[in-house]
Amino acid sequence: MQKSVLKTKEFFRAVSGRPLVRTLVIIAAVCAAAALIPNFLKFSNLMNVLRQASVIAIPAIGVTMAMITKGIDLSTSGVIVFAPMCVVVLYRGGVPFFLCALCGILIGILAGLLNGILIARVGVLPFIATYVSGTIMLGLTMVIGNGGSVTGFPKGFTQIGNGSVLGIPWSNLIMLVCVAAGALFLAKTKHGNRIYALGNNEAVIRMEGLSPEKLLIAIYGIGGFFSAIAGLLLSSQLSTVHPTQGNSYQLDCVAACILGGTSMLGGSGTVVNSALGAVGIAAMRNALNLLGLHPYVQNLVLGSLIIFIVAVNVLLKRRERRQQESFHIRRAENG
Amino acid sequence: MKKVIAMLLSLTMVFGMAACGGTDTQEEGGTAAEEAAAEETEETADADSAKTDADAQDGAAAGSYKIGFSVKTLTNEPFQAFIADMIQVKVEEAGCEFVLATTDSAEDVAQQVSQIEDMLVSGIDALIVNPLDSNAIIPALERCKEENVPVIMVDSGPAEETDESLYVTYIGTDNYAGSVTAAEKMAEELGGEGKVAIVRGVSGNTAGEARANGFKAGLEGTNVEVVAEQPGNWSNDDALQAMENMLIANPDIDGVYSCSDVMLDGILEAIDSAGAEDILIYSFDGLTNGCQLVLDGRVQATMQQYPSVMGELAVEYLLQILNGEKTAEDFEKFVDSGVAYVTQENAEEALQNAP
Amino acid sequence: MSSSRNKNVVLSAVKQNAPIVYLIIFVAIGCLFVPNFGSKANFLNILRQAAAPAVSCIAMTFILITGNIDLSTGYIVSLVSISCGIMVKTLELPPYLVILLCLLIGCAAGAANGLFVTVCEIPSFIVTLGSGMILTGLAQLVSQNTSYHDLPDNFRAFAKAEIFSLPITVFYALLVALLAWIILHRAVFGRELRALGLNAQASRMAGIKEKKSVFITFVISGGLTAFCSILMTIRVNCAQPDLGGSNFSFEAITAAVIGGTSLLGGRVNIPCCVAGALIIKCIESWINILNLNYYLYQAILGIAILIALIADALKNRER
Repeated sequence: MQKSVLKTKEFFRAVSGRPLVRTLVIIAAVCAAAALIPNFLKFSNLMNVLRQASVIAIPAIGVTMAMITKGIDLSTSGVIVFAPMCVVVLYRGGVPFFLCALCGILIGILAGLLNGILIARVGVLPFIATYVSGTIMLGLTMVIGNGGSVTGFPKGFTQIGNGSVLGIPWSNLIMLVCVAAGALFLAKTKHGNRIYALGNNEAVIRMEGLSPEKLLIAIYGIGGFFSAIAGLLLSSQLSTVHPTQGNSYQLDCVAACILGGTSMLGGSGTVVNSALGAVGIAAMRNALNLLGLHPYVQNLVLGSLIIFIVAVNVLLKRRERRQQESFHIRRAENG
Repeated sequence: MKKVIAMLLSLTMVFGMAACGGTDTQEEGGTAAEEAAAEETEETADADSAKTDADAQDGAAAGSYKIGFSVKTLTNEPFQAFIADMIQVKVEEAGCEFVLATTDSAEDVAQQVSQIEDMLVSGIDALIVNPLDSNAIIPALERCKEENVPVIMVDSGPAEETDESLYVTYIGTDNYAGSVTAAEKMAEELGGEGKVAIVRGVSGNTAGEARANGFKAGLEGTNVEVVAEQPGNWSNDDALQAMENMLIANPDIDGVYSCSDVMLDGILEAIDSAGAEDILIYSFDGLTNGCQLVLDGRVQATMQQYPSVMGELAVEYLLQILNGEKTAEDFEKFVDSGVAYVTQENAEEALQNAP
Repeated sequence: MSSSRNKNVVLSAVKQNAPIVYLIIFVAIGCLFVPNFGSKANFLNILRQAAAPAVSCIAMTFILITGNIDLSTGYIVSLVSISCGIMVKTLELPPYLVILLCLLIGCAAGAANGLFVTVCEIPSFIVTLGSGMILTGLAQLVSQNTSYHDLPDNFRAFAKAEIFSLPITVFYALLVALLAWIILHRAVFGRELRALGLNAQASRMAGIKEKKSVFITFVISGGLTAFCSILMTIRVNCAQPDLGGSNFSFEAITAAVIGGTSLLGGRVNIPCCVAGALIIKCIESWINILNLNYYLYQAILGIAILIALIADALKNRER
């Protein structure tokens, strides 16, 4: 009798996992927003929201991977300004644009690798290592641009951020491609599975004969890659590089991952969910803008939301762990 | 699990209810009159057909339009608040709806662009904008052009190579010329020679750059030398530090030019603690605190701007365009809203008009 | 025989107090190469400039000892500053009451942070990033877009008086440093904190109440930050809702880490913390005096803290 009860409880938990709950909540929130805010569901507005979300969702791919391994990446805001600044400065110096863009992406990767080395080889805590590297990059950006914005991208470049094809902005398409690539990599490839292993059970990787350190460095390198792409995308949307353009993304990317169910304690999270979280954050800012609320209200709401979601997340994990422990104990007792 | 669903749904509901009450508690735009106008204009709020709708709706009187103002943060910015207030008053006088969008920091350019996009979606008919960054605002202006929403820039102007069809006009203070005047006056006071320091604003801000450059240009041909310039970042804290250190490097400064009144407190403190005397202090903006300091004799002069003129003219011109009385081509690309040289003599009067 | 032992003692003292040695080196370089750096006026300047940052650095140290971090201190400064302005100018409360209330506000903010970190077990950097947003929102809400200039003299006297021709803020900073040193090295609470930082599990088993201690550190930090805000507000003679800001906590962390505080917890050296604050203000003053690109400051700070972090992490490996 007890065994069958336990079995149905397991079954229920497996089917109605947290992602399902989250989807329901999102649908509820969207309905509430649509009902209360005029123009929210207009096609142009939704496309706008997705366009604004793309700059959050793309770096969130890297942040998700970092969080799965119990780390974090706060350097996104730094790369988002530093990479395009280097690109535009090189371009103004006469280097062909294709090479400049390549350089920009390379710089992002290098920054990410540096983060990874600091975290994996030197042993600095992830949040401070990435926070500091992000700040250094921001500082360098301000030195290069003398604190101001720098413009001078080729004409076609700004079309990427602002143009559309068949009514769908290029930004959204780029976001889809990156998210799809990231999701497939994480879920379907062997390397991707190893990332989850890093977060859950590091020993498995060593048994395979691989080095967890090298994998960790690679993860942050990937994060830098995506942050650089997001930076170029943002600059193409703004047609300039402004040294503060990345400021809000530091927290927004992390919030997007958390909203998407990536746990702060590591081991779980998917790219697609984080991307949905990014859309959620962008939608929330958009809703507050459309309502004409003061920006400080945006701050109050976002700050509270983040703390609330993480608190719920952590409390749920603790309850789950306790339930698992008692389940195992009961199982052991029952023989 | 159920508890979580309940919690999250109730949060959504609370958020929804807060959103309902949001427009009431809003500072800048929440009057009863506006809400009534909002109800009317909601139906006509379709940016593409705004002009024709409005024309069709009314005959002689001005139509009921939705005019938006996008500006940086109003926190600690009495100058911007002045412009915003004047715009609101003029817009509501004309029976239209006023929408305000402010960013949450003086630097968030991406946020300003998304706010303008969102305002377009909510169907504004015309836009007044004080751009945080003249380059970054261009895509937003292009989107306004696509939707036939006329744009007037106030206070901070367009970047050098901006396509002129993107905006009707720029109404602002000629920061450069105003600073040239300030420099000439200071050089006169100093008898044509001396050493001065400049406390700049945030680098890259067009107004700030224009003021610093104008001041330096105004000193050309005299023996007055600019021995130091450091950014005060429009903040008392940074200005204080910069001034203190500039005084160390150059203890015998004769004059200081502050690119804005908002940094005067810090600069005065620095001069006080260094025990330095007889330093001429000139400033820009003509805010309440600036005019008061000039009246008290602690600051020698400030260049007062006319933010209310900016707001007033902007609304007037936009209404003329929306009503079909004039087209964008009828306006000059730059309208000087004027600047006044405020000294102790006329400080009392200036204080009346100060933001 | 004893001379080599003496040498070892001296060497290890130098190693332990490396930041103070760095400070001496910085000052020496400054005096030699930066014009007017060695003047009495400049020394007074640097002391004045470093007083408030030293207090905030010590506040941050309390949090860093237990392996946490507080990214919201800049916004506590904003909120306290504007509240101060309102209390002094609009409500016209007596100075001592204003100071007390401001300290309470700081402690309350710290308590909120502490609650979320201990009870909800959320990592402190997320809590403080979020609470920072809430605090800046509150500051803007409370300010109603105004700032308060020209604070009354009886209030300003709190931080403007001079003793032995040194500004009183310097003495406040020294007092705070002394109190912090006593708490951390002589009181049981301090020893418990350091034990927690070094090895949380062992400390818990030894009966140290981790949650209560961490909570108290956040409250202390909040209160000290509020005190710092009052000093800064009086120094610029303007209560504004954007004092402090996002860079504030970064400067405090940098000063603390350069001053030898380990981010992994456990190690702290108060005199070195103060030295750390002085070092970063020296660097800033060089940049201003030499009329260099002001934005180099942030980049240099970042690189400096990076070096300190790497050194700290490597030292930790050897443990």
